[in-house]
Amino acid sequence: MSDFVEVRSGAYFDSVSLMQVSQTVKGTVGISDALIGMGTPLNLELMSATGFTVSAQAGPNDLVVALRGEDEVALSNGRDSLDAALSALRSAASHSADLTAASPALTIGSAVRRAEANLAVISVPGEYAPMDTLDAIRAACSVMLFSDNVDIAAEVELKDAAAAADVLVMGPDCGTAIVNGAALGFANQVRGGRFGVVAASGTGAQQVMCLLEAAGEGVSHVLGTGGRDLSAEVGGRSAAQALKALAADESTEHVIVVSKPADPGVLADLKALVTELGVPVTWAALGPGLPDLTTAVEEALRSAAGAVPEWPRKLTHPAARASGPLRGLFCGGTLADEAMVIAADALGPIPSNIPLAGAPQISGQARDEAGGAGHQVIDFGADEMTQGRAHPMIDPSLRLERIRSEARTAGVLLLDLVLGYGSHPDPAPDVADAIRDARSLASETGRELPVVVSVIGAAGDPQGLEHTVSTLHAAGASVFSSNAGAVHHALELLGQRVANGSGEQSAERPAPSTGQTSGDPSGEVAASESAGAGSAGVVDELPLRGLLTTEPVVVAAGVSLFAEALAEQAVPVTEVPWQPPLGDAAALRRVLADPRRTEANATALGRMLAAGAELVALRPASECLGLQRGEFLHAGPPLGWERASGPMRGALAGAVVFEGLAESLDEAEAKLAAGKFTLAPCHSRDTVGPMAGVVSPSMWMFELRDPVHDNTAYCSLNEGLGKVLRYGANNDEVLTRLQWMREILGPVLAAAVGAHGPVDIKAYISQMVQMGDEGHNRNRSATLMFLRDLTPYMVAAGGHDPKDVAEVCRFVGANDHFALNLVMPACKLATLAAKDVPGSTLVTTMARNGTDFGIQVSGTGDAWFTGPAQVADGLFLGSFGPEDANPDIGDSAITETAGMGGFAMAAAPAIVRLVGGDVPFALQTTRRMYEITLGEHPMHQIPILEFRGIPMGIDATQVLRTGVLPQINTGMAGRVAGVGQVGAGLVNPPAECFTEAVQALAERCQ
Amino acid sequence: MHPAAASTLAPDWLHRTWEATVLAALPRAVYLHAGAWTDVLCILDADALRLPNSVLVPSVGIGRGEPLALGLRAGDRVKVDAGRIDLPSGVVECRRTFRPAAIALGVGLGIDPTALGELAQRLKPGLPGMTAAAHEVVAAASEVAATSEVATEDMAGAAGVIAAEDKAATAGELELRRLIGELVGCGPGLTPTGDDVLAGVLLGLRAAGLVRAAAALADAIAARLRKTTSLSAALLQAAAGGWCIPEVRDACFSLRAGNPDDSFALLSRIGHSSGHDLATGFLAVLPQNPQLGAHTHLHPGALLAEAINLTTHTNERTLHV
Repeated sequence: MSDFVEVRSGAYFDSVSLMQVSQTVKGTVGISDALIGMGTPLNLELMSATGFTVSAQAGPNDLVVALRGEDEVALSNGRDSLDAALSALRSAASHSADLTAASPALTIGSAVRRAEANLAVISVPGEYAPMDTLDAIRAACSVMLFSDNVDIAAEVELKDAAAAADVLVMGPDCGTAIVNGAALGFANQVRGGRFGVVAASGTGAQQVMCLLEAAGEGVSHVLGTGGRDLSAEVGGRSAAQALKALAADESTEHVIVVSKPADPGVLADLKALVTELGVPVTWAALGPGLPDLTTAVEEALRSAAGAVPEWPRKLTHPAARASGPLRGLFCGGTLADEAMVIAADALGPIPSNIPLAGAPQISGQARDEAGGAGHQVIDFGADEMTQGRAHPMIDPSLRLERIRSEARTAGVLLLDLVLGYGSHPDPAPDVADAIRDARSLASETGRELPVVVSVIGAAGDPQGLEHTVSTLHAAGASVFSSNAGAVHHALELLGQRVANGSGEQSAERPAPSTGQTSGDPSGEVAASESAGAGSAGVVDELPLRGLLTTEPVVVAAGVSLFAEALAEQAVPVTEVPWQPPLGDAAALRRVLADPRRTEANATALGRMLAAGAELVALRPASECLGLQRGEFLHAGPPLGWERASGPMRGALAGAVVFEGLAESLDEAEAKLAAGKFTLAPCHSRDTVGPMAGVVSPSMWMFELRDPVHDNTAYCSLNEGLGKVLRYGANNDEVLTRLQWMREILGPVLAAAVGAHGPVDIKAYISQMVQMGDEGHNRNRSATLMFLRDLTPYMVAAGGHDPKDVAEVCRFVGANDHFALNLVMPACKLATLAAKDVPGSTLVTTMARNGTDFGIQVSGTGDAWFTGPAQVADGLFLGSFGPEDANPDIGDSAITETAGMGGFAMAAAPAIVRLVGGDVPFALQTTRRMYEITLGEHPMHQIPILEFRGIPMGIDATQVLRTGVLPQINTGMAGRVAGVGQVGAGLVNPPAECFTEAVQALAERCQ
Repeated sequence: MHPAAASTLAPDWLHRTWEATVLAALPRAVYLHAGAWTDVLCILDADALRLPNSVLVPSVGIGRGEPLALGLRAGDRVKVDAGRIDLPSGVVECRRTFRPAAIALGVGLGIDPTALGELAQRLKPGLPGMTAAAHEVVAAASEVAATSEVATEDMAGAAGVIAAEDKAATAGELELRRLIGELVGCGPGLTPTGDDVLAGVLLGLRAAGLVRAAAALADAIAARLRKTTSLSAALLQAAAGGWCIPEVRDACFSLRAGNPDDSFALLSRIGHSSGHDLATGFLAVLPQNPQLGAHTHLHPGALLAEAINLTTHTNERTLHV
C-alpha cells in the first residue's frame, strides 16, 4: 500500500466537477482509497482517521488530494487520472459550452417562456400591439406597452386579462418606468430609495424622480399606467394594481401618484383602496387650481419626514426685467401643462397646441407672425409635431429652429430639457448654441432676452447633469431643477408673481391633493406593518408575481433603442425579431382574443397526442369505404377534371381502366372529362393517398384504428418506385401491378394481419424517429419493422401459394417507401382526434392535389382553405430540372400535420442529401417548427435535440404571427403524366390558406 | 466591455481600488477574494446560479461571448477599481445594483405539512445523518433563544452579530456550538454539506419567523467561519441575513403553492447535493413548529411579537455611477 497526499493551493472546483474527478480517480484500477476535498478541519480529520498524513499547512481554501494505491504503479495511474481529470476541467473553462445555435424565439410569448422573463417591452404599431401584449400576459409576464394608437376598448380588455393573470400592463403610451433598479424607456438614473411612483405621465414621473434625487432621496420603483388609466372608462385598473404592489413592497415607504386630473369616481375608489392598504400616498395630480409637481414632491417629503431642500438652480445675473410675451417651448407634455397651469393664474389662459380647458388652440407649427404677439406654450412632442420625425427628446432640431426664430418676439423664453436613458446623448451644446444665437439676435435689437431652462436630470444620467447645466448656464440661461421653479422665475421676470402653489392654496382646498390616508401618528408604523404584513403574510403570492422583488428579465419587441439601454444596465434582455403578422390584423386579433381558444387548443392537442394507431385489417375500398362503382377518391382538396394536373389526370385515367370502366386510356379521359364519374377528396372519407392518391373501389386499403377515440383511417398500398399510378403512369406495367396487388398483395397481407392481430403503428413511429427516418421521405426502418413483424404470419397463415408469399415479401422489402402508407393514416388518426373542437386554431389537414394546396382547421370542421400549390425547391434526379416538376401533390403532408416529415427533420438529417440544405438546416427547421406548434409529442422523441418530442399541433395563428410557414419535405412528380419522380425538395403551403382560415375562425368568434 | 449588475451584498472593495485574488476560474463564473475571510465576490455569467454575493454579467453566457474565466487561473491577481473589474476576457463594469433573492420573514407560515413531508422524503443529502443533525441544531438554537436574555430584535443586526465577539456562553450555547462544530466544513465540496444544511436551517428559521433562534444560530456559526471555505463562509453569512439564490426562494414558493414536485426540480438544479442539503436544513425547522400547519389562522404579527422592524436599507450600498 502506498499513499499519495497533495495540497493544491487555491484550487477551487465546484462540487459537481469535484464529484466527477473523485469518481474518475476512484475508478482507477488499483486505487483502494481516494479522498478529495477542501481542506476544512473536519475533512482533514477524516483523512487522518483513514491513515493519511496531511500537511498542517492545508487550509479550507485548499484542495487536498489523498490517494491510496495497491502499489506504486496503481498510485501513479491514480495520479495520472487525477491530473487528466483536473486539466479537463480547466480546459472546459477556456471555451464556452456551445450547443448548436438555437433558433430565435419568434413571438413575444415564446421568448418570454424561453427566457423566463417577467417583463415584456412592446413598441410595435398600435393595431398589432394588443395581440402581442395579450401573448405576454398569457405567458404570465408584465408588459410595458410603449405603443400608442391602441383603442380604449382594447386597453380595458388587456388590463382585465392582466389582472386575471396577476401581471401589470404599464401603458399604452407608457415610455417611463423603473422596476427593481432597471430604468426602462425614458428614465433617469436615480438612486434607489424609499419612494414609489405611480405615473400616468412619463415626463411628470421624470420630474418627480429627479427632484427626489436632488432631495437626497431615491425611488424604489416607478410604475407607469398609461395616460388614460385614470379615466372613467379604464377606471384606474393599472393604478390599482401598482398601488397594491407598492404597498406590499418592503423597500417602498411612501408613494407618489403623478397624473393629470383623474376622473373623480376613479380617484375616490383609489383613495379608498389606499386607505385599506395603509400605505401613505401623495396625489400629485396636475391641473388648474391644483398644486404643481414640485409642491407635491415637497408635501410628500414632509409627510415622509424627509428634508425639503432648496431646489438646485443656477441663475444668470443680472436677471433683467423682461418685456414681451412668455414663450414656452417644451418637449415634455406634462411639463408644458405644468407651465400653463402655473402661468394661467398670472397671465390668463395660455394659447397652446395642447391648451388647457378654456384656452385658445393654436398650431405648434405656426410662425410667430401668425401666432400673434401673445403668450404661448408649445409642446413639441405632440402628435402634430412628430409626424414623420422622432420625438423631440431624441431629435431636437425643430425646437432649436424655433428657439432662434423666437429671438425677435419673445419676452422670456421658457424651455425644458429632459435627460436620462432614451434621450439625446448630449443635447446641451446644441441647445446652448441656439440660446446664444437667440440672445445675441435679441441684443442686436437692443433688448435682453432672458432664457429660463428646467433641466430634468439626475447626477447619474448618461448625458452628464453637471455638464448640461454648466453648458446652458454659460450660454446665458438660468437653469432650474424644478420646472415649477423655472416657470415662477420666468413669470417674475415678466413682473408677475404667483402664489407658490403650496401652503395657502392647499389649505383652502380639501385634502384630496395630499393623502395621508392612514391615521397620521400610525402612518409610518402602518407602513412598516403593512410592509411586514406584506412580506410575512405573503398570503397567497407576492403581488404581480414578484415583479418588484425579482431581477428584471426583459423581452423586447420593436424597440432596439430601449433594448440597448437595458443591456447597458446589465439587464438580461432578449429582442424578438418582430414583424407584422400576415393577413388581416383585425381578424387575427379577434381569434386571439377568443376566450375559448386556449382551452380548445389544449383539448385538441391533448387528443392528438393521446391518439393511437393500430393496423387492424386490409379490405377493398368498396367494403371498408363503401366506395361505389364509378366513384374515385383523389389526394388534396376538392378538384375537378378541368383543373387537374398531368399526374392526377394520368392516375385517374389509369384507375378508370383498372376498374374496367373504359377500354382504353383515351376513352377513360373522355369519360372523365364528360363528368361520368364522381370524384371526391380522400380526406372526405377519412382516407389519405400519397401523390395523386387515387383510390378506386377494388383497391385494397390499409385499415387503421385509434383505440382511444374510436376513429378509423385508411390508405392505399404503396406500389413502389418508378412507373407507378400515383405519379400518373398508367401503362400496362402499371395496370398489371395493380392487378397483382389486388389479387395477391392485399389478401396475403390481410390474412397475416388477421393472424397477427393489430399492429401498433404508433410504436413504429416512435422507433423510426430514433432511427434516422422522418416518415415522409424516409421510411425504410418502419418498412423493415413491418416486414419483420408480419413475415412469420404471412408464412404460417397458409391458404396462399408459397411463391406468392415470397413475392409479397420481396415486394415489400424492395420498397423503402412501403411504410409511408402506414405512417400517413397513423398521422391521419392523430389529426382526426383533434377535429371539430369549437374555437381551436389547430390545423387538422394539409393536402395537395397537384393544383391547389388545402388546409382544414379544427375549429372550422370540414371547410377547406386553399391556395395555389407551389413547386418544391430541391434536388433533381438524372437530367430533370425545375421546369419538369409538377406543383405539389399528395396527402402525404398529413405527416407534417402530425409532426413528422419536415417537422422531424432534425431526427433525419440524412434527408438533406435528397431534398437539399445542410445538416444545421435540418436541425434549425425542426427548431423553427416549435415556434408555430402548440406542443410536443412525449412519445416521439428526437435524440439530437436531447429527446425533445416532435413539434405537434400547427397553430394557424402562430403561422400568421411569425410568418413561418410549415416546412414540408416532398417528392416531386413530373409534370407530364407517367414520367414519375423527377426529384425531391422543400416546399411550403401558400400563406393564403392560413389567412383565409383565420378569417373564417374570426367569423365564428362570438 | 461588459455591463454588469452588482449585488447589495458585494464586498466593499468592489467599489474601491483594490487587487483581488482569483479563488476559482469556472466555466460559468469567476470567484474573487480579498480582505476578510468571507469577502468573496462571485462574477457570474447569464447561465450561472445566482449566488447572492455576486456581480452578474448578462451579456456572457452559453453560446455568447468569451467565458469570463478565459485566461484566468486560481491564484491570479485581478484589478478592481470603483466597480470596474479587469478580467483578461474583458472589463466588467457595474452599472446597476440589485437586491439578491431572499427568504421573506414568515414566508414559511401556513405551508401544508403534506407538501413538506412529500419533499422531505425525496431529499438525498450529501452525507448520512444530516437530517438528524439538522433537527438537533434547530432544537438547540430554539432553546438558546428561549432561555437567552440577550434577545436580538433587529434581524439586520443578526448579520452584524456574526462579527460580534464571543460572550460568556451558557450551557445551551455551548451545546449549540458543539453541534455547529461538527457541521461547519463537513463534506468535501466547495460548499460542504454541513454548511449547506446550516444555511438551510438559517433560512428555515427566518421563514418560520423565529428570529431569535436564527440569531443564536448565526452567532454560533460566526465563531467557526474560518473552519470552512471562504465561499461557503460568505454564503452562510448571507443566509443569516435571509439572502439566498432564486431557486431556493422559488422552491419555497412552490411549497407554499402545494407543488413539492416543482420544489424538488428546483432544488435538484443546485450543485451536486447543495440543493438537497439546504432543503434538509430548511425542512428541519418547519414541521417542528406546532403553531404552523395548514389550519393555522394566526396573524403573522403574533409570531413577530418580538417587534421586528425590518430595516432593509442597512448594509445596502447603492451604486451611483
